[in-house]
Amino acid sequence: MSSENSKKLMLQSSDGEDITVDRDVAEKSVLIKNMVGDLGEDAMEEAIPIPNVNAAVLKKVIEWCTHHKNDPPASNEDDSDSRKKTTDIEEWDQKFMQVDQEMLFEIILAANYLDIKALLDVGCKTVANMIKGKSPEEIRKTFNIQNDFTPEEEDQIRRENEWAEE
Amino acid sequence: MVSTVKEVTAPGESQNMTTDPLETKPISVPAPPTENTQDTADDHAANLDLTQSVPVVVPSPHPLSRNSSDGKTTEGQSLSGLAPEILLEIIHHLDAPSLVCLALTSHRFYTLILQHFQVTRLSKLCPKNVRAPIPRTLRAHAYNILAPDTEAASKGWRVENLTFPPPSSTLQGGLVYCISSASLQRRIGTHPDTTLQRRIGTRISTSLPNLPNLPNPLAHRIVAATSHVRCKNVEHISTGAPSRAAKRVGK
Repeated sequence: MSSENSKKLMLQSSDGEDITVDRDVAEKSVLIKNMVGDLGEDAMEEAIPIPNVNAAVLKKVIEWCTHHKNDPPASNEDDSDSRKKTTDIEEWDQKFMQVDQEMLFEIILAANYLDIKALLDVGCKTVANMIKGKSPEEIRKTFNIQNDFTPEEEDQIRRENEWAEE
Repeated sequence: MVSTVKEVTAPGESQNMTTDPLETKPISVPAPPTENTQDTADDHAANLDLTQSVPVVVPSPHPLSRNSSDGKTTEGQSLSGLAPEILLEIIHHLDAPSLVCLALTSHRFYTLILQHFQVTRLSKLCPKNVRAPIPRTLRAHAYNILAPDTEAASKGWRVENLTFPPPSSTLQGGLVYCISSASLQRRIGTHPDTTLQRRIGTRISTSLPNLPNLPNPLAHRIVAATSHVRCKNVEHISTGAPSRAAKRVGK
């Protein structure tokens, strides 16, 4: 096998599509990185099954990983609470996340499954930004959340949290 | 502090309530600190009764673990369908008012947020008057910048817009402005940096148009100091951190 081929990995999505990807891009996923480490040379020759991610989502994830393949690994400081409180998203990522809600949540789930922390972080920030500044009713409408409070509870809530309804 | 464990549930859910496909089981949540149970009449926000020991709907560990036979994910394409650990990741990016608003959308978010932050009331997360007008104070400073020969070369003032939201004070915004005296205007006339001279000199001549330009080799230092102070002050105001230059001119 040539050295060029040895840098490629084949990922098989849940719907059976094989997607070839650079090894360094694929290894942005801790899951795949560990798999490759465990499988060794076998990982280069056979498609790695990704049973929980369909092809469309997998391609989006690979697109993100390709763009961020040269990013330095996150330091421990990035996990601090103050860092989490921010919802700043860089411009490219904002455009990347301009997808319908279903795809957005699929990307978040895929990032969680594939253990791509930075992508998960961007996805969660995107959702947080969609929540911020909205009233409870607006959040329900945005995310199609069913209001399952009883009328009595809702009345109590309204009285006690009028500021939040504004 | 004594740590006790309570069974907590979202209000309005009954014992025989089942919500397929989510499983139903009681949740044990560490009781919040004693102070959280001492609610006063001033406490507000969502004070729903969480003391009843009844089951609560708990989502399964991960939506992706419940795939259909063809391998496709059947849930997880909505916010409500996300696993608790992912919801908590999202929650960590929310400020307190947004947390309360999300908690008020449904039992699930209400319970999740209260449990995660180990409080019994949303008012512990965010006070009711969080969106009330914030007390503001304007503070003005007048100062002189001394030239090397101790002559007052520049007079200025700084106006700060201070806000005091409890529990901490925040320096929210401000304005720094500086005017120069006639002596500074005269000194600027000899500044070797013509760009700086033109820029500063033009601004000063707007208010002092008829002053002659007199030679003084120290002028550029004074101008640089003035500019430095102004920049430091702006930085101080925008970050809220006191700068040495700001302290110096504030005296």
